[in-house]
Amino acid sequence: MIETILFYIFAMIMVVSGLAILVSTNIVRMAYWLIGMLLAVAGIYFLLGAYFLGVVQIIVYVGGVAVLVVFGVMLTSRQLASQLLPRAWEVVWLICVTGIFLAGLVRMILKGPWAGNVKQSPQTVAEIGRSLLGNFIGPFELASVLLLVVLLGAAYLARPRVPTLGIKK
Amino acid sequence: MQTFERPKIEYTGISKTIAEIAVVVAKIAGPILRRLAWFVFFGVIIFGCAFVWAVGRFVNPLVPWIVRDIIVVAGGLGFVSLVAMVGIWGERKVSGHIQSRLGPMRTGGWHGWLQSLADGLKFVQKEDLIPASADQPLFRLAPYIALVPVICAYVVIPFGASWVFRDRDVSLLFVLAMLGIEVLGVILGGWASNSKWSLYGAMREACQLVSYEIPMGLSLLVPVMAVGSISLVQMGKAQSGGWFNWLMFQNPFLFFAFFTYYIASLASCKRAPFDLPEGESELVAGFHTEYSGFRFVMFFFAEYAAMFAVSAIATIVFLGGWNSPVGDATSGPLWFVAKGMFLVWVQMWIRWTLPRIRIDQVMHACVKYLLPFTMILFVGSSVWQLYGSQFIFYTRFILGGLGLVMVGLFLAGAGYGYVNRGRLVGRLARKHLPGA
Amino acid sequence: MIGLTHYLVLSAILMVLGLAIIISKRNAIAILIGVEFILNAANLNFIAFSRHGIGGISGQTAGIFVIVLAAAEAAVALAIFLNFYHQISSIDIDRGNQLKG
Repeated sequence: MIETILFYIFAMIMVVSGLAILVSTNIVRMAYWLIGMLLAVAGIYFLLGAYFLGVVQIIVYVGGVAVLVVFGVMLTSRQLASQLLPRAWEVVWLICVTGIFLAGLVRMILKGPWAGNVKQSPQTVAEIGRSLLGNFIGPFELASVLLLVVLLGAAYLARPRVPTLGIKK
Repeated sequence: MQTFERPKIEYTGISKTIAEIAVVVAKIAGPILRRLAWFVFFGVIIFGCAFVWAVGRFVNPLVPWIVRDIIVVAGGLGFVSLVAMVGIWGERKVSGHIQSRLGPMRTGGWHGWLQSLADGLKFVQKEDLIPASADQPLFRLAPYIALVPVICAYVVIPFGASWVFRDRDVSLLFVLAMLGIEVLGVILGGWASNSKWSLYGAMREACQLVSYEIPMGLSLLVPVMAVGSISLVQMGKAQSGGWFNWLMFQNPFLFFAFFTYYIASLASCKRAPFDLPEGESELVAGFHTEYSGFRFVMFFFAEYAAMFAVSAIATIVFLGGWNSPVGDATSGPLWFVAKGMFLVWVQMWIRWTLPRIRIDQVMHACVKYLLPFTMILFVGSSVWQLYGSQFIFYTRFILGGLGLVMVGLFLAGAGYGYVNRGRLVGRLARKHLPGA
Repeated sequence: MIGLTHYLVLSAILMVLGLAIIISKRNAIAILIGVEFILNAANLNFIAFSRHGIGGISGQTAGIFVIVLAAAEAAVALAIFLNFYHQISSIDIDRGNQLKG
């Protein structure tokens, strides 16, 4: 009962955020609607009993990626050029394409019984830890190497450039 | 300084009746309240605690869970507000005494202890000013993004072995997550004010907060490894029995982890020496320059609530939480609140002693000194747990003794300050004000 | 009650919204926001399946990796966008139509 209410509240927040981003023209507001969506997804993770995932979602996505996006917005929106509003036929085309895609996905989802549709009890953090260091040890180590590469790459790509006289970039 | 002549305002109709009734009530109740304010205030608090305890003890199985939850949530909100108010008053007294003056002395009689209430009333009746060129919805939204996550962090903080609203497997990470959402509120406050100086404060603060989350998380991983659980209740329960069982004294790496966590949490709460975001002598008030009235109160509340939340985490994880230092008879919420408020007081002490450091020095301190040090602590602690646990008796003895020595030094310093308080604070200030 | 199909349909709607944002926006950061929508939709699928018994704990572990990789990709994407902005002083991707530089 309470689960139903919470599910619909979080679903409503997600869908409204998406529609608001589609309609909006102000990039800062789009960034904050994104934060609303990320928090609603974290709420659904808590509802599904995946507490560790929900917490990681908030720490990494809301506290990391969203802050990055907001920084990017504030560093690149100095001129705040007017967003050209899409013309009428472009909107119709968008609705048709996405509508067909959505209809296809939903039909496929509703089509058959999904195997093993039985609710399990929420798993503990210890099981996730054992899985990370057990079955998923390869991806775990690779992810840490990937993060190191990303750290170096992003720092190099975004380095400050001293304006020279056109000799070297 | 006894009576204050109010300028005459003429009311008509209903307002006149209300005004007359109010004047009569104030005339009758004023002197009584002034005498009994102390008793009333503490009576309400004690009654509230007794009520909550009685509900928990006797009514608990009888009412639906929603009623219990509402009562606990109301109690929690009340506690957070109380902590913020005591924090604000304490800040002004501590800053005053460190600066050889006295701080608030009048409101309420003894050392101005009702000053926060008066400040709150003042803020609430202020004009709600929003800059015309500010982004209106975002400007209104920012204080909520700063305040609400910090209050949500209190959902999982245990005040006692069973005094927790919701005990979850991942409560420590949940508190870290909630404290990390505050960054967005601050950036939004700076941006939506549409003022260059607010934006500078907001950007510097975001860099600082996000960078210092890393040493904070790493130094919290060290006790998680020692206990083997991320749940705050488990960490508190693992430290029962006496002060030598506290996690801070188990392991030299844990000893230093406490201090690195404390320093990182100072930066995370935007407290000096890391308080560039609200640099009072530089940016007027940083990211909350344009906020006045109740919106400013929300930012302020968020800061003091976050101060107590990080101190609460430090006490549960390193200092034994609700366990008393001398055995388990008196363990409970009182010890927890006492230890938490002590750490908050130390935060204020540090703020008014150390000078502010520049933003590039802040980032250097994080990346060049604090982060490598916490990594060494993390690796050292894992090696210690694998190979060194036979030294546990000696380390507890030595580190526990070190802890006792620190407490002794602190008490000696406090005693010296108390004995010489006339000379240190200044006789002139003390002589001419009431309530000294 | 809320079953598996509810979560799957929700994630399908989220994905289509993300797709619409990517298609219809000219600001590069708005496109990044749309990509985040799609990644969250996929992650929601993983967790929903894990809770309802298909795949067990691997669903949540895979979810952790999706979050980590999404964060890494957002960081690199923003670094590239900053570069782009320095070059042509505009974040409009329609202006990025030359192979030079």
